[in-house]
Amino acid sequence: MTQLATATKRAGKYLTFVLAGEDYGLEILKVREIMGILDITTVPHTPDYVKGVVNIRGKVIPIVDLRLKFGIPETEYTEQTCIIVVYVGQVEVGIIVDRVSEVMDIKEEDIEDSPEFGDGVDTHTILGMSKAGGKVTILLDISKVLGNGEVTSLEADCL
Amino acid sequence: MTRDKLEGFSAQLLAVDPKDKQAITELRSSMEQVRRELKDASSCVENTLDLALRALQAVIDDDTDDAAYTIDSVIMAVAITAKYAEVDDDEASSIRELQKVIGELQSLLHPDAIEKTPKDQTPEVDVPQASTTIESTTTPVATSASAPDITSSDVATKNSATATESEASADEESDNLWLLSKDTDVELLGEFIEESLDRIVQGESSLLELESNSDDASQIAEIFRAFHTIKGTAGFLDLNAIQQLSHLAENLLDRAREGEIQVVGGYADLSLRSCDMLREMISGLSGAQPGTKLKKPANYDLLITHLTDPEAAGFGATTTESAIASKSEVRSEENTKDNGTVEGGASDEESEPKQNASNPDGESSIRVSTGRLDSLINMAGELVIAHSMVAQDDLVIDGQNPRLTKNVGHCGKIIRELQDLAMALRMVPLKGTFRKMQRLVRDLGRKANKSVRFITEGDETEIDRNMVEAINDPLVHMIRNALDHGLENFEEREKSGKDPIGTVKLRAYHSAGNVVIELHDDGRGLNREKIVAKAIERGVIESGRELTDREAFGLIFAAGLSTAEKVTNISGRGVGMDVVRSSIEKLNGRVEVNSQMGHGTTITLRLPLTMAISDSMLLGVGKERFLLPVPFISQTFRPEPGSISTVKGSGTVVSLRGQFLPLFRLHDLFNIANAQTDPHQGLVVLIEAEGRTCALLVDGIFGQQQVVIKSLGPMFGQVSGVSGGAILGDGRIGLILDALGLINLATNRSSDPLIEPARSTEIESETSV
Repeated sequence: MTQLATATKRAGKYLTFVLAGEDYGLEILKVREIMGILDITTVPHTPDYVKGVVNIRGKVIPIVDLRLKFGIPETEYTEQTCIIVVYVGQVEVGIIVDRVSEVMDIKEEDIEDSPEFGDGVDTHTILGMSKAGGKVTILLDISKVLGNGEVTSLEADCL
Repeated sequence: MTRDKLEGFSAQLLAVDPKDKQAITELRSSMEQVRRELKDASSCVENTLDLALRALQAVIDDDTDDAAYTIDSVIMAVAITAKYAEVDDDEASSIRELQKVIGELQSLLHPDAIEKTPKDQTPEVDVPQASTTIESTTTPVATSASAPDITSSDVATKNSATATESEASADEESDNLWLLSKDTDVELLGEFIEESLDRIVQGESSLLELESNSDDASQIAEIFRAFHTIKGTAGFLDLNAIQQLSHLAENLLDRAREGEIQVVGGYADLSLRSCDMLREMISGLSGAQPGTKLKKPANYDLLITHLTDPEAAGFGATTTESAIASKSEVRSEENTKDNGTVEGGASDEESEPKQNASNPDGESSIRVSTGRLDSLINMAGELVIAHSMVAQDDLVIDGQNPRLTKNVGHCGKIIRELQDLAMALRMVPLKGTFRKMQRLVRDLGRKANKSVRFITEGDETEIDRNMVEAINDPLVHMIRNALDHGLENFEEREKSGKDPIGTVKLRAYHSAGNVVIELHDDGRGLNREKIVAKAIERGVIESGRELTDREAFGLIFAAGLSTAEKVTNISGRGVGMDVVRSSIEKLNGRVEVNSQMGHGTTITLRLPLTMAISDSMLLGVGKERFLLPVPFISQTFRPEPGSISTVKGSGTVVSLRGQFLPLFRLHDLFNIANAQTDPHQGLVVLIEAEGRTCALLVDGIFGQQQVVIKSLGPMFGQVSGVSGGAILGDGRIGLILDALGLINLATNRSSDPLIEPARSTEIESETSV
């Protein structure tokens, strides 16, 4: 019963993108905009996955390289590389992905819980796995992805 | 139509003189005309207007306790009625509000329930009258037939309850709780809070003026009005405890108005205490839910007792802590200067203190939510950035299209003006802060038993709203120091031939893009030798070091330093001045101290006009561009050949005018590639924060510009050395450097102490690095 209940909450529209050959999905409501890769100003003394900041229409937005956040080696940016600006609480953050695919409407019956891989792998950042469209899409909880204490301090410091 | 007419009456009543019977009679006849012509109005509305007309008649017949107050109530009643004049009868909210108004007017036409017991006949006489008026009206809508019943019975209960109400509510209100009626209109309450707090501030200022000039009738009237209006509205909103307090305070002022007493000494104390307590109670209302019980502040009952019979409690014009303290004068002289305020510029003439105090804000103004204001200011800032991106585009610059270039330039002019206006919106005058200080000086003076004259100058000088709170504590501390340690007491001053009344002067003005605030006291001044000795004792500096006056006095900002022989609970512990300096520097400002022993001390605060904009130098390191706020830059120079040396182990030093300064390379601290590593080819920038200096090597300086500070966002919580970002003209982001953070960053990575010149015994000199 609880599985069904949680599955219903996860159904909806997702923006799918590709990262290192894998398909991922983000809740569309959390996406603010998508743009091509821009010049990034590095900020010293930040973790390696924090690439820096960019200027989007007069706003300073921090940029995270999702590959590095996931521990995947980074790669050269191509013309398909995109920045997806997402909302994490009240704050906007940009994530770098290899390629943006499409917006998919995923129904509850297509969503499964992610299998337990054991202690080694941290799966709380994954909302579930979708088999819609004939391929496996990993649905991410973006606030948890960009989290580990960062989100809580994000909210606390926010005006 | 009816609504407009009624609103017009309300406005006219506002302007009328309570003693001008003829004007009132004329107004009343016009109102009566409108009342007679009323069609399709609810019975509540008709009832209210009837009562209003009766009230006006009472004023004309001199049959009221307080004509002005009655007229005020009529004004409110008519205004509210205007709101509902064209609204359906069964709107519950209209019934509620009008009910209140009706109750208020009725209580006016009969003696005040709180003051005296109502006459027996009048409540009963009116109840049937009220209900007959309502029941006899035929209303078109069927459902509203029930409404009049509710109204009449409610009015009846309210009416007959006026006598018992105060007792009933007294039951519900136990010793230290009072009830916020559940009928309270939250919106009206909010307005009441805002306006009353304003009035209290004005009243307090007038009280302080009165202490030195106790015959000033206009000031007395000002305070009286403040208490009076608060009493009225509090009564309207059923805020019994507040009404009671303001009523008693008003009585005291009334006695002053009649010339029976003077508002000095004990009476002044009582009045000021009333202001404080009212302020506390009214602020406590904000956010309170109707229907809940609120706590009375401690000493509420005591104050009520004192106010009810001051003489019995021992209060009088001369009862004070000491005879000397009663000589305390608090006076403010204000020079108005034209400083280009948004409201169209203050007048250039010299205005007298009295005039200022009684009518400080002559211009009209409106209230705007700060959220909206901030959004507007942000948008204006983004517009400037977007424009400069267009203006710097090659297409515009290369001159191929002169018309385009001209138009873009024209846009730029307009946008810059818009930006200036938006920035000005953030500014508020320092008046409020200075007023708070006025009160502080008075209270401290009495406590410390010193006579003080407090002068303010330039309180219309404006500062960024976001900075007002931040400078409050530093100013308080500085004033405490001045009063506690700076000013000598009465006897000492007399003995040394000084004016026995000490002077503390707070002055503010704009200068070169900064707001300057000076605090001057003519006390005993700073003892330079003592300070230096203490500093050496504490190990802050080493002995034998040559110090300029500025540096010597600047030592008072070092933590833990205090030459006070005794610590009072006001100051003396030595933890204040360093906090003052760091608070000011956090705002990108500077503090400076100057003093003359025996004559006094002056502390000068220099603050940027606004926190949103930083006047910075653009530094280049490699490909990156950084901004360093100008207030923190001591100087920049290209090192002379031979002035660079390495200290054994780590670190480089550069010598400047005989002093050795540790040199840090920015590209090193920030890991930037392709930067200039040879100090002789680069530029050295000397930065200073919290008394510490540090020399930085950069590639070069690429100009100085004002940039809008953008926060990097919470993700970059504590990046050492960087405090924010700004968008440069070409769209790139330049990181804004944090001087103190950089100094810390640099020193944590080296073994050399900062303030002292390098003390190492082995120095290798190099001609090139």
